Amino acid sequence: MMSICELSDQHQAKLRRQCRVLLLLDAAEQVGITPLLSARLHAFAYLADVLSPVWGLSPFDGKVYKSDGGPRYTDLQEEIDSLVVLGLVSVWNLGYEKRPDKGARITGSYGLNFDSDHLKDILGILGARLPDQAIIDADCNLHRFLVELAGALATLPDDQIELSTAVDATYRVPAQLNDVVDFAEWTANGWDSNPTWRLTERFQKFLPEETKLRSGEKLYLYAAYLGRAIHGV
Amino acid sequence: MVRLPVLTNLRVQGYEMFPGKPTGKGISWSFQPGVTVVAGINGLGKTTLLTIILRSFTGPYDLSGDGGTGALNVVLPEKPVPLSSQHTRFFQRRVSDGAERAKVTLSATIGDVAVTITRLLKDLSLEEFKVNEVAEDLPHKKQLREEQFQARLTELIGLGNFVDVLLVLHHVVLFLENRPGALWDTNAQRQLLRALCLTQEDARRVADLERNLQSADSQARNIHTRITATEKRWRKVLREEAEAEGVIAELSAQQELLDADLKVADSLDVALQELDDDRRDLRLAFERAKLEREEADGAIERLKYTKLLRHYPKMDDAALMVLSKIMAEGKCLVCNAVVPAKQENLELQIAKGNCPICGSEPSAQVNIVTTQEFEQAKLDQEKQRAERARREETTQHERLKAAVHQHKETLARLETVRRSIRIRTEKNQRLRTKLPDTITSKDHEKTLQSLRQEHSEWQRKRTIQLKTLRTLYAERRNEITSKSEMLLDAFTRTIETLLVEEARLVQVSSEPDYMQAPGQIGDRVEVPAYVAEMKAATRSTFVRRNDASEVSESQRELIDLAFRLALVDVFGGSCTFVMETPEASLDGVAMERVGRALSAFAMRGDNRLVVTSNLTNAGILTALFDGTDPNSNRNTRMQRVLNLLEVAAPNRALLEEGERYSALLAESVAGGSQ
Repeated sequence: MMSICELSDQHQAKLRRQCRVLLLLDAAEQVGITPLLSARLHAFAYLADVLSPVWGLSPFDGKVYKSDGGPRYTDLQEEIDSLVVLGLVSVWNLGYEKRPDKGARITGSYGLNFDSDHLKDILGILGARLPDQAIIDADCNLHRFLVELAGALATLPDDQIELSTAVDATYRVPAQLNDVVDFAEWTANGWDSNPTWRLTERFQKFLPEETKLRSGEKLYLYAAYLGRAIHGV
Repeated sequence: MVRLPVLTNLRVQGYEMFPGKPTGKGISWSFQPGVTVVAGINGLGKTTLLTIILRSFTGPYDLSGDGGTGALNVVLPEKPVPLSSQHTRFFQRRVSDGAERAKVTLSATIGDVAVTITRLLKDLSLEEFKVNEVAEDLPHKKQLREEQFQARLTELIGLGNFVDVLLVLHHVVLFLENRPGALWDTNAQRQLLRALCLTQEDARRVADLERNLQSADSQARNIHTRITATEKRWRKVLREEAEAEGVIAELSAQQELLDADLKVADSLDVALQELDDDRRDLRLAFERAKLEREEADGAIERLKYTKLLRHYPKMDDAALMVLSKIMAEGKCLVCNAVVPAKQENLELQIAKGNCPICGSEPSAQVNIVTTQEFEQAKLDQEKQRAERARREETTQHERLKAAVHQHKETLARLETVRRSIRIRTEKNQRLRTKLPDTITSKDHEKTLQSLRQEHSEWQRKRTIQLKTLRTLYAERRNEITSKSEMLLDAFTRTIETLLVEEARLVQVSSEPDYMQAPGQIGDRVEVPAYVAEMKAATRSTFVRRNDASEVSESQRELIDLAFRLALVDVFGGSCTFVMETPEASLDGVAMERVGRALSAFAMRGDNRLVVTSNLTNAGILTALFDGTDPNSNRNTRMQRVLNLLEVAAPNRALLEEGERYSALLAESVAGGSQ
């Protein structure tokens, strides 16, 4: 069996993306918001990136291409499709939606395929189950973050998760449509280049000094903020 | 001819130490030819009274600020030195009323001129100075009054200046308890001979030349010291500069490298900024290309998915997706392999209406609803678009990878250069600390040149002074030695009466240490001098005694006393010689001898002798009076005793034992005459 170090960079990146999809879907599963529509899954992936500093983590992808219809990760979508074929992810309502420029995007509702013989072991290795099963301890923390975030987003009505990116502090500004929003990839100012994180840090100011906000509470407060922002409140 | 003062009268009034008898009268004493004894026990003011006599002449000035009692320097001061406050207020500090009303009036004859000096004891200021009963018209300002007094007194005594007056007072006339040397102090002896033997003008010239010579030598030495120190610093700077040459070269090389690094860093900064812009542009292009490709592929997939769905409406979504992907992109979602043959085959099967999975013909199929022709034209169009998108994506991806790589490399290079800049900057800073200070060897050379010139100038001055002094001494040698025979005779006569041991004075040459480190013989000046020689008990010949340490304490005092008295005899004519407690270091037999010798001096000419006695060894008084007037009775002798037991403020010893002290005094004075 080939170790991950012997794989090409391209192959390693592909595997990482697949793991990312599985963790995102597992987190959504744990809070009961699966299956996830394509747009919702991409929105969740984006919000997990942009809110990772709240949990003290680095984002999986420090940038996002801002297109109409919300964040869309082409690479990630390819892995979703691959995972479907590999039997680790189930898809429902597969279809293609037309895009304004004559093209089309695959759509569907995705969830983990718990009938798979390998899913449980893979999730254990990725830190989504018992800590002693994880190869890397830090993965457990990443999974806890994704579950916490999914829980926060679950407080929003279903369709508002994908809509929320439109009001997200980072996605909203400063890039124009069809531009790359860089909040952590090639930035010079670290997390300060992430408006979403800066906004979550401001929550503390509205609370009494003796009350210290925990990271999870910040995620829930931010989800609540997104919910209000969608409605212009 | 020098005219030494002969004291005639002393009045001390208003001074608490000497209330007088009756109280308030103070001291009023007339010095008669012959002996005056100032008698008193310890603490009654004998030394104070003699100091009053001394300060009547000197005022608040002396050879040094501390009263001129120590050994003399090789040169005398140019002018009288003001006494320190402590010594100026010597009398004030000894009484409770601060000597506010105390004054002294001392009368003396100097030659045939009578002078009277009146001073306030609180600060020694000159109140009045009479010459032949006529008060001098003195300026108001104290210093000017003193200067006028000093000039007049110097003139009357016949010396070159007042410093010489002070010299003679300390080293000839007044033989006080501290006993400043005359013979033993070679500097004092030389100065006395200069002052007494030479004309006033020559005496002043010699003193000036001595001072100038010493000053020039001192200046030359000081400058030489500076030259030595500067040379040391110069050599150090030279060494540093020599080392600095290497440091400078290294620094220069390092600076060049640093400049090059800075230049590279600047260009890399610019390049990096451009590369950052490039990679951002390419990232955007790539992201767009990816999306475009996805959507283009999606469009084909959609067509094929729709076709498949029409053919096989009950096919599983996953299977549809796999087939769509292969048909649309020629890529297998299961193994990720690119499978164009499979793609072609699938399209062929679909076109024939065969099952894409098992290849069954339409007649054998159960789940097929209808056979639909592909919208081939539309598909071809989408395929072309997807192909373009794929090429674009690949191109942009490669370009992005290249740009990112280049950016990364440039950044790495920049980091390397920045690290090098930091290291070089630190190294340069360290090198700079090794550089010498801002004063260069050239500055030191200039200073040295200037100092050497100055040194040469002072050496030249020193040589001139030395030559002039040597010439002057050589020319005036006869004047100094002309009375040598007389002086040797007078000394021999006197010392015979003072000492049991045979002693004599011999004339020699001495070399005063005008210069601290005389180099050659030419740097030396020979001056006439006298040394004592004595016969010792164990040796038959005279042995030279160059130093006071080579004789006993009493011998030292008596030889010096003999020299002083000889000087008075030869140079001073009549004089009042003042000696404090002559018996101090003498045994009983010697005392009688000394007493007789002193009385012999007192009896010569118009000489007057003033001695003090503390009655501890009063035999000398008897000897003195027996020597001067063996037939006089006690009362007559007592008239020559300035009796401090009566006129001084009594201390506790006097209050308790006054009668016994008075009896002791009377007995001592009377001796065998009563």
